[in-house]
Amino acid sequence: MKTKHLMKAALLASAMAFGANAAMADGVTIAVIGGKADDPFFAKVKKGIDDGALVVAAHGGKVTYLMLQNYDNIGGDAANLVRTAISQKVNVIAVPNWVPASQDEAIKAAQAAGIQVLLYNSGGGDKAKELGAINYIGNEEYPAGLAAGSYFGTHKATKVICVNTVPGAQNLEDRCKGVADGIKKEGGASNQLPLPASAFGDPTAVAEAIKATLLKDTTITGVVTISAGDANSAATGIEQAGLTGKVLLASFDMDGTGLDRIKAGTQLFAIDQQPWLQGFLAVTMADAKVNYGLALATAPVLTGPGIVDASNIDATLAGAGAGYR
Amino acid sequence: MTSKLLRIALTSAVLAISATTVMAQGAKIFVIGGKADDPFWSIVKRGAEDAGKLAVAQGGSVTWLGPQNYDNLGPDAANLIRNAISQGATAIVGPDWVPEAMDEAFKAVVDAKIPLIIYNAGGLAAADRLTAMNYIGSDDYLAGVAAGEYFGTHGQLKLVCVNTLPGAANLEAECKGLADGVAKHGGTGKQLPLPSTSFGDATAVTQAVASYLQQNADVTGVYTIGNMDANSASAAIAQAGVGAKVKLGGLNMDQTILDNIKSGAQLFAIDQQPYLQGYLAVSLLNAHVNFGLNVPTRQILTGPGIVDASNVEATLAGVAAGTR
Repeated sequence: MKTKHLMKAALLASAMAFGANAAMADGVTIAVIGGKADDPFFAKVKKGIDDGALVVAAHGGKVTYLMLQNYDNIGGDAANLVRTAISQKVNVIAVPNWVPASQDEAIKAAQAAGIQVLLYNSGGGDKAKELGAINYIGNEEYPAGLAAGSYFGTHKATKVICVNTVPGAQNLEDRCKGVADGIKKEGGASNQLPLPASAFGDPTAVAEAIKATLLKDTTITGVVTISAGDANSAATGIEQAGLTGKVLLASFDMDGTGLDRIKAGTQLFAIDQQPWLQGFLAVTMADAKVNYGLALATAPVLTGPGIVDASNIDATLAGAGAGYR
Repeated sequence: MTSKLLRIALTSAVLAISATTVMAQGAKIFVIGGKADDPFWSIVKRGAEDAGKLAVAQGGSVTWLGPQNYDNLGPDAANLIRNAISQGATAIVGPDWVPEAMDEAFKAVVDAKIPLIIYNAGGLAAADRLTAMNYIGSDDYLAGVAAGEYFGTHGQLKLVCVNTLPGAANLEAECKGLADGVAKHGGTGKQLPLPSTSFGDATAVTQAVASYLQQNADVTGVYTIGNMDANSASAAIAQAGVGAKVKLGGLNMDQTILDNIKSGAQLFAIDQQPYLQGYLAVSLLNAHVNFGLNVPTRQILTGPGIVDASNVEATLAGVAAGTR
């Protein structure tokens, strides 16, 4: 066993000069690190990974999905999964850079071991450049906010509140700032409605706070929330204030209830980061790079913001039914 | 005529449930491209076919439509677009080679509410003009910039851009990009425009480049705009006896060029990565038709990709597999 291993190592070293060919013949292994299987968001990412694996298999390779067991210690656990992938001697790793402070060291260790890395879902284009990763495929928060703001602005909502249930979180601050900048270009304005930490995850408290704000300031014509759950609370708040149809609702991310509202016309739009595309493109771009040296000149590749509104709600519902959205 | 009217009537009745219906049937994707025996386009086709595996698994199909020859490219390609519409395409991708001959057909695609992607030629400007979802392809100016920067970071600061088709806008843009790219590193790039009689005449190009290098002893980098020219320039560098000092880079690649990169006789090649053009166009159309997905990065540049000693092996593996 040991001899065989050593022999393989020796062979690998002598094969380095035509490394790609050797990898091709063996078939490449792509490790993808991602969220829990029962996380609705990552279930869609996983579907994209599985669909991408079809082509990987046609090229003679395979994909292994290394999954977080829980979200108690995301950065440290994700770093450990990168180390697991290194010890499995995979050819390329696709990983979200959730917590750079915890993960960058492991990513650099992978690169030092000759394993190429692609960032997806979290981390952003600048981080990918800094680490020398193949690319970044995913969402960026500020452009997502910008798209939401300009959509409101062009749809007659000129005064919008950005309901932030986790004030201080950088990504959410970026979203709300994007909303404000986007609507400003259309002549409108947006302020943040920061809610106390105690309101987070408490739908009644969020609904009450939004209702109270709308009743106090009747010039508000739009509400955007930072999550699909909060959008459901906001819909309740708007309804209780008797302002359904007068105050337009939008959300970052979406769930079945939100899609039903868009279909019914009680929600204007949702901003989607299109998780299926993240998984699919991450796997196929990792495969193309490691097998054939192919890499996109466009970096980052943003899978969001995708806007879901009345114009594409049917295709989106079809996608949701099939587990793609 | 009657059946056409009937189809229109049916189409509008079906609109309300279109998304679900399409799902069950899968996407009927039509890909307009070059001749099947064109080496460049056979790689694009390979990418389209690889992406087609998923489209087919989801109940759809991918159909390649290419012209018989390149004698009347614009009108022929426009007819292929019209064929795709009449054959019931639910998504179409095509290159905007000759806008004045093709844009009208592309507009008919958009008017019929068939999702459209422009790839390979036309740029983001064509995608914007035609309200297509995306442009997937390369950009001539940026290819030149990447080449200029590559030369610059490798110490070649005095460049010549051998242009065998002076006046062609895309090549002028590329040579300008080369100069701008090397300027970032403090270098300069000049154009060597050759008379149109020398186009396709390898001996004439070799002689012209060799005599230029002898007259301009300070030039350390030669850039060519096509693979044949690269091989001519390679011969010129050898003839002029300046191989130790003058490095070669160029657009596009073939087996000889890759062998030269491997042996060190050529520094690098700029590739627009045709496989990715076919692959991404079909993948994104399929995801859009089936599930309404849409990549907001509207211009997806598949090139410039740089092939040099660091990745020539992976590239050769790709050539063997038909993906490069």
